[in-house]
Amino acid sequence: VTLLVSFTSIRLAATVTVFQVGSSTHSGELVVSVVGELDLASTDEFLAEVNDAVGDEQNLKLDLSGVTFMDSTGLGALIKVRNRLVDRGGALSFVAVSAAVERVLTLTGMAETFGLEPEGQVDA
Amino acid sequence: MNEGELVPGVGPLSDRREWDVATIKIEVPALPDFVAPLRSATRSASALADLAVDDIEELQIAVDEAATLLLPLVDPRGPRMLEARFQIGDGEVQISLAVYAVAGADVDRTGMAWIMLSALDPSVDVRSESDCVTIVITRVRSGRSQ
Repeated sequence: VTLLVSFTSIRLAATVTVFQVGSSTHSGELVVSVVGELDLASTDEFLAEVNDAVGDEQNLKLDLSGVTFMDSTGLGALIKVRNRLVDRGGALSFVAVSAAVERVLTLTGMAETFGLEPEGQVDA
Repeated sequence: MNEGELVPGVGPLSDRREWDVATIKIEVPALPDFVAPLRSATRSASALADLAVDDIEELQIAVDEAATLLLPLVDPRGPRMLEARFQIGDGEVQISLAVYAVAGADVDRTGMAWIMLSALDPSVDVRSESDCVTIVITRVRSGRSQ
């Protein structure tokens, strides 16, 4: 059951690209959803929004099904978030990923690190 | 629909166009917000070259990574612009990205951006000439020999 949904960041970039980060609590678990392009122009904002949403939580689920583009800076941001949670004994997992995200994770050999299975499925 | 047809029955673009090779030049401010327009231009140029969808998407990532590598090199005392040159042929696109760089600056070949770029284009070329650093990316339509 989704208890709370709040979109805290909406940015309209030069190319009319909307970037949104929203957080919700789903069955007691923190879920952050990202919509738009996760690139050099948006990763700082993504990290700030995720850090605000996570607070002192140990675990985070990311819904990246709405990410239309991701590059190495976006991947770097995901690794930072993951490492921060692991350092405090928690974990980062995915609810779902888009083809754009899956492509980069596969290309860099990071898919398994993030628990990604073939065809965009994620471990339970 | 036959291979190369954008619209059923219309025929491949290469059969209809009135040019063999075309060049598009775009200059944008050397800032992160202006990398997205280069990705859009890459998609358009790749479509004109009749590249496959996977080729187009990978080329967009490659251009993005090349820009990511070049932006930190920009000389703040220079024009602070990023120039992109698209050479479009039938089934082939060559993209050159260039910036006026700080003297002696070179592309970082140790980070994730370079790993991704070199994986997407193993023949990627980096050229440093006087105060300019250029990255050249080439993509040939899948299944077509270079």
